[in-house]
Amino acid sequence: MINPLMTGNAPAADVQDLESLGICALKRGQYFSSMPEYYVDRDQAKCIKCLVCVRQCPYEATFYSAEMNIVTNRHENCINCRRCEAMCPTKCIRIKRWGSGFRPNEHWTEKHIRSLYKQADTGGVLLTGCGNDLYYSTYFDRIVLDASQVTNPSIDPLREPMELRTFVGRKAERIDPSGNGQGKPSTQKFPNLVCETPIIFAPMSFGAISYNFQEGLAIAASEAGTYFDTGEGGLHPNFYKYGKRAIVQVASGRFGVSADYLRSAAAVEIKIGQGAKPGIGGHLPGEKVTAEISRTRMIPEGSDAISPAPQHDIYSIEDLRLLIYAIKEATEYTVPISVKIAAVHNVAAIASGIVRAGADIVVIDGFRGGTGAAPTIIRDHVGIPVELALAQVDQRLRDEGIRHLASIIAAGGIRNSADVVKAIALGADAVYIGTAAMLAVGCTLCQQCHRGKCAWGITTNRSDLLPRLPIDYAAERLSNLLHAWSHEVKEMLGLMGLNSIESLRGNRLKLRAVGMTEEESRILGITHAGI
Amino acid sequence: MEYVIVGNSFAGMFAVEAIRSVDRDGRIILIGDETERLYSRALIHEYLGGLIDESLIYLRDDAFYDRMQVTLLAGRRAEKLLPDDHALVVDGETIGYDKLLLAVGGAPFVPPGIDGLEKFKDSVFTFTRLSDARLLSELVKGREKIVVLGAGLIGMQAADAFVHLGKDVTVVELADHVLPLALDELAAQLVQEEMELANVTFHTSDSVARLNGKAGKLKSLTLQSGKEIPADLFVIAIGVRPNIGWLKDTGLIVDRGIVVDEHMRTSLDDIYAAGDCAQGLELISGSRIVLATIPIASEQGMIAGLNMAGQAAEYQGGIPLNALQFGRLQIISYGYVKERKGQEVISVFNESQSAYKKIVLEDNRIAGALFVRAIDRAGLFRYLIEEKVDVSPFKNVLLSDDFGPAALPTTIRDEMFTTRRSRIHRPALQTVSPA
Amino acid sequence: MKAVYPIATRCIDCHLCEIACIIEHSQTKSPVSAHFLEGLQFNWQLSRGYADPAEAKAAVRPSPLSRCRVSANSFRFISTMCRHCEVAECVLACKNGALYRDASGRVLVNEKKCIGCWMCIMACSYGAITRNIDRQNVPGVAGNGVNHHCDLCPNRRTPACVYVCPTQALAYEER
Repeated sequence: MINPLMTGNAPAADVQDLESLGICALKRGQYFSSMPEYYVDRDQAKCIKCLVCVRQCPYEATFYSAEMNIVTNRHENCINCRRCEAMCPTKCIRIKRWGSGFRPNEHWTEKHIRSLYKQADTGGVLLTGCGNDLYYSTYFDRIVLDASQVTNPSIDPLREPMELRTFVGRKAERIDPSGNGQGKPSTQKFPNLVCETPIIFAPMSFGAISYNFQEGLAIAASEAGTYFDTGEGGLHPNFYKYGKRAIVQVASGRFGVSADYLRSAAAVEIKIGQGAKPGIGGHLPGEKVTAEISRTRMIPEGSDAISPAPQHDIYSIEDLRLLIYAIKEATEYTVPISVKIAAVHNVAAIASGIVRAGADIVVIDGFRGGTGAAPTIIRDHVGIPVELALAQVDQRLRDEGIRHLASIIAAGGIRNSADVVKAIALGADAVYIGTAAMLAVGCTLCQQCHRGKCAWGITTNRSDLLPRLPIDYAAERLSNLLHAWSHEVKEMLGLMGLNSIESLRGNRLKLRAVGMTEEESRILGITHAGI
Repeated sequence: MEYVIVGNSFAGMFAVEAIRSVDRDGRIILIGDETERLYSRALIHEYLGGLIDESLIYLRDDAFYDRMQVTLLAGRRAEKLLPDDHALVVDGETIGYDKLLLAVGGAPFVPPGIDGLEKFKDSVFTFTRLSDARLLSELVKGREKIVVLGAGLIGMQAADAFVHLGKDVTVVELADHVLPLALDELAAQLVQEEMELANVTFHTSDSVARLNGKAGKLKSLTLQSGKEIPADLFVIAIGVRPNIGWLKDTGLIVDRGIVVDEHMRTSLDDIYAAGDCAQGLELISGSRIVLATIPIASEQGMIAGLNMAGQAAEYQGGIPLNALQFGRLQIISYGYVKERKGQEVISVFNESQSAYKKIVLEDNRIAGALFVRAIDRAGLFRYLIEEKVDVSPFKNVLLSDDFGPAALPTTIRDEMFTTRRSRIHRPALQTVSPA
Repeated sequence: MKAVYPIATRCIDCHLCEIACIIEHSQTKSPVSAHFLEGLQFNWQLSRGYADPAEAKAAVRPSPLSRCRVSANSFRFISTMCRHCEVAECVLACKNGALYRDASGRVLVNEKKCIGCWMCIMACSYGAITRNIDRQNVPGVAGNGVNHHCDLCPNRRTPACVYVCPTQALAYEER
């Protein structure tokens, strides 16, 4: 049986008391807060009492009653991670919505009501994982791609090479063919990341994610010729061998930042903010800080790792410039320096300032970006869609004549290769994928990452759960994902009559809007379909 | 090569198989003083008690000797050993050998000083052979009150057999509890109670002084304590001694049994010994002891056979081990389960289940382990004892229901399960011609 | 000879290997009937506190017996089964020769001959043998049964446990 070291985000003390009686007694107005959200529906005729589901559930939602000879559930603990469904050898389990609910109310939805109850119970801030799940317009879904018909014929990717290779970093203002007297152009060259595909693994810190998952990302990135990002958790000593595929982050908590850390990497990323929680710092709950994480982040075991909201040495754009150049000096100008911001109001002006401050890469993280832990209210209501931010940043930098000084990486809810193509067409040089990478290795988006009990071994470092994601499985599946998407991107380039990512970048002409207002189309810089 | 093996039981049988695994050409002569087909001495009690079908007691099929190309001299007794001539006298006939294995086992010990053994000899038996069982099964039809002297393994099994035959059974034992070598006081108490449920009467700390009766018919026994108990059949089962009397004056070094080294060699050239007659290394005490149990006899026979055939196999040593069942109580014990001063004991006793687990530790190594009813995976303790594993890192889980390989240190666990290599037989790389 | 070797670092304590073993060795090969209608044996996972298989069977749910077994201790898991040792301790301890090695090298039991004396359980240093009380050759003895251990799935190309393990924590190979 699982013998957890930590209890994770245990239910409030009152609820634990209730369990000692074995029944759900009510306390101090907690009528519906511990009401189940999900119902574990079991076909008892097919249940062979193998107890795999009992052992696989880290949330203690499933148990076996020897007296009754029956496997049954504490439905109130089920968070719909679906691990039991997946592992059941006779497929007799189905996780359903609980079913009974409040009178339908478009304004006060069930989610609003239950969240409010919980806050009245505890007085606390509600935390969650993953990305914004509320209904907001996803602009990618209202953008369609051009295809070549008759004029400007399409290119067949099976016959012609498709250039997915992307250089991410500062470019020279112009090519200087005058030569240096040795037959080579004398164009100044700046350090760039060389990505064989314009898809890079998003920052996910060791601590937020498991050791096995991070190594899988590193291996898949190495094989595909792209990069992974350490997030703000530092780089585990065992992963220094992947250093040349790693973008390391310098975040406000400066976790794990040392001279070796900076020098081992392919790029250094200064994290100002992230799309899931703009304006506040990262949060790794104490339950998830194991010995390994404590060592990597250089913090005490079991203590919450909270990054401050601002970087406390960056209070103006000049401060940012100082930090960027300090890191460039430390790395001897051999690697590109990136600055990551969340997509917020006036993102274009901010991005312009960042580029002028000397950043080689600007990462724009939209509000659909995922997180290991964030206050739900912030995740769901702060920030703007990456599509809009991206288009504006790209246009602004072009208008100011500084687009060549930095590459743009778009992040935040990229779901498929069409989103990749659209993002590049809107102005990105490359994209980050975070949630997509997690889904590739088995995530079911149950949004419980912050509790450190991930049943799939993805966002936990508990020793009993880690083996659930074997490193070779993770690497293989992530490689498969990159391979599949890259192939699809090639197909889409070809059908558009393009044969390189370069020709796609910022090429708004390849996009059309469907069902958008004029203003939205204008902000995105794309014409409505039909024209 | 002429291989001669004296003794047709476990040691001899495994020696034959071991020799043939290496040498298909050498001649093997196997001498046994019984005419029975190769049978398991351990099952004669069940056979007597009518518990098992006769077909289940035979160790190998009829074609075994032919298949192994063994010349069997059954019903023949080896009388004299002529080591200088490399020969053996068998019922007057001289048989030469290149390699000789003495696997002659043990003979039942009859204590001196019991009055009346000769007078009532038709009612007095020892019980170590199938022929004894056959005889007793006929004889016992007219008898009701059976007294067994000795509550060791053979005595208790004999008692058990008579219980199944519906007889009135009494057991007399010199020690203060039954099975004094295999069990501790608590386990012995459980066994005794279990047997008492089947109406067996026990007299411990006692012995038999005199047989009483009239006209050659046994009527009762007088115990050392003075008690008189009714008896019409008397079974002496106080133990076996290695059958080495006939080896006197041969120059063979004997103690309780025939002393052997790690290649099962005796002190005489080309002579090996194995099984209940041999005295080999006991791992816990580090000294040489006769360990008369089947696994030890089989292993020693196998190692002896390999060495006789030129393979330098080494016997790693053994420990006392027992697997018994009385009534509902299945019992497995290893090593020395009665703790001495300075040894640590951990145990758990579930009275309602009669389930008892006990470990005796010395310097963090297991010196004895006893399991009553909770015998699953007991064998892991054999590994821990024989490999002299320091159990301090996982001492607290030794007695848990869950104890298993996951609790062992990684190096040990990997050594156990990443290979099929045997722990007990680590052959040397090249064959060595024995000196 | 190929045998099954556990890779402990990959084990996730799911016990699907045990379930696959039970189904493979059942008559019907159907998960539900294999688990409920065929065996009336002792399931060690649920047998805590019952030392005797027969009593456990009566008190706990009846369920067939697996030949491999997952062991768990704190965060470490491993599934172990008979190694078919090159020199088998159980064969050397068997009271009547019911345990033997067949031509393929596997150590097997003649279920008609085994008398359930449990010398093999005593002898097996790897804890690989359990008591199968579904079959008794000595009915007069309480709790009698026969030897039960891994037979390397003679009717399959790859043993069932190896095949079903979700993290490939069991390897079937020559070593």
